[in-house]
Amino acid sequence: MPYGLIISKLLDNNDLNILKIYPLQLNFQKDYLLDLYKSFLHNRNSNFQTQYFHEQGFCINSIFTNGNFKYFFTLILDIEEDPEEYEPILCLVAIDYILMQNNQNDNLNFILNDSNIESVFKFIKNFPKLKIEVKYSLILLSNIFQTTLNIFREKGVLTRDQIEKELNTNIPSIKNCIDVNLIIKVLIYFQILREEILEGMKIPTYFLIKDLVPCRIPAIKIYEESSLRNVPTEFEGILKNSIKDFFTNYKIDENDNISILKNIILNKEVYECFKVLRIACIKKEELEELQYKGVYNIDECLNVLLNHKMIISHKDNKKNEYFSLISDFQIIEFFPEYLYNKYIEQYKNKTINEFILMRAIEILKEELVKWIYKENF
Amino acid sequence: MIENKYTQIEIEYIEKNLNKLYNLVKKNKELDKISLLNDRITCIKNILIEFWKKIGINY
Repeated sequence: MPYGLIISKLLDNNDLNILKIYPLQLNFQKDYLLDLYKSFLHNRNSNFQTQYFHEQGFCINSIFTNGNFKYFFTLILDIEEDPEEYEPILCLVAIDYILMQNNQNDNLNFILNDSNIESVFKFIKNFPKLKIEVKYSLILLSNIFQTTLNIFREKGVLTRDQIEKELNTNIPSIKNCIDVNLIIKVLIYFQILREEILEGMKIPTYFLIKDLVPCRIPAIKIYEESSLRNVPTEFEGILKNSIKDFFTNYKIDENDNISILKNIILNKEVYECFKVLRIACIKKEELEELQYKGVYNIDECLNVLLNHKMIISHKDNKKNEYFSLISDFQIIEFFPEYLYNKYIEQYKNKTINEFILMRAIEILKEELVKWIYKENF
Repeated sequence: MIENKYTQIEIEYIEKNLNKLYNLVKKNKELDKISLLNDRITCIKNILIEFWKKIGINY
């Protein structure tokens, strides 16, 4: 379990300014931290380092952000913990923090906005236990991650410097501000990018191996098995027609997706409600049992879901109020088959090195076999 | 969260095209007559079609 979080800034005179520390009683003197960080910087071959203190039973997982803003984000963990599990969220917090220091707006801001260090720490602490769709939501909301993904969707393969150059062109305001290594680290964690050092090259090359698309899909289980899923008989027809009507006219809408990610998937209380409604049609009083999961304001949660047209309600003769899902929301992982076309285009335009291209094709082939349909899928 | 999957036949088709592209690039040949695979929008559309089918409508 993580014990604490420290955010500090390396000053020009190599002194350290501790900006945030949680919990306050965490006993780390500035000089001690400075020594740790100096040793990190002296030995470093990446932005990430874990230092183990076996006798004391803890380890320190630090990330260093390069560029104009030199920060350390340090998590103190139990020695039994896997520090790599926390690196992606530490990277996201770092990106968010630096953007805020630069008055930049990115949808990631919700992690730190209006939050104190305690809630940031709690978010980090819970990160490994979050469902993958919640973790994905963090990057799908971020303008920086979306831009990086779009760059990869066009090129398929890039080096670190190329990513940086493309990002600076697309979002000039982040130039020298965000360390690209943090973005890469997160995308590798999600197995969206694959890193390889190609023969004869000193620097790593990154290949897109998976794509994501967030979108609404019909509430299929409720539609197909309405009687098994608690849908009152008199409500069945209305429900099925509502699902059909909604999806006859539906087109993927980026703003709608962002609103669902932000207000439903990343809102702990609404998400708990949503998860239950994915399984069955539920009476309002049954939803009130979710209090044990920290859902205290059912009315507000239901309003969010109704306003987003995720659910509809129905009152029976006995004035029982039922709520049922009409629209589910999924983040679909898929194989980037389209890169084949992009590679042909780049080869024809001579904008890709042939050696890199051949390896990129091999990697697509290697990844393809992982997407085979299984009988029980 | 859903993972899109391919059938064995689809995998073989994509693999065949990737092999062809690899060999042409290796021999430094022109790619004038090479066929294309699905673009991103079509990949997504093909995934969604399956869900829409289950409620009896076309995507």
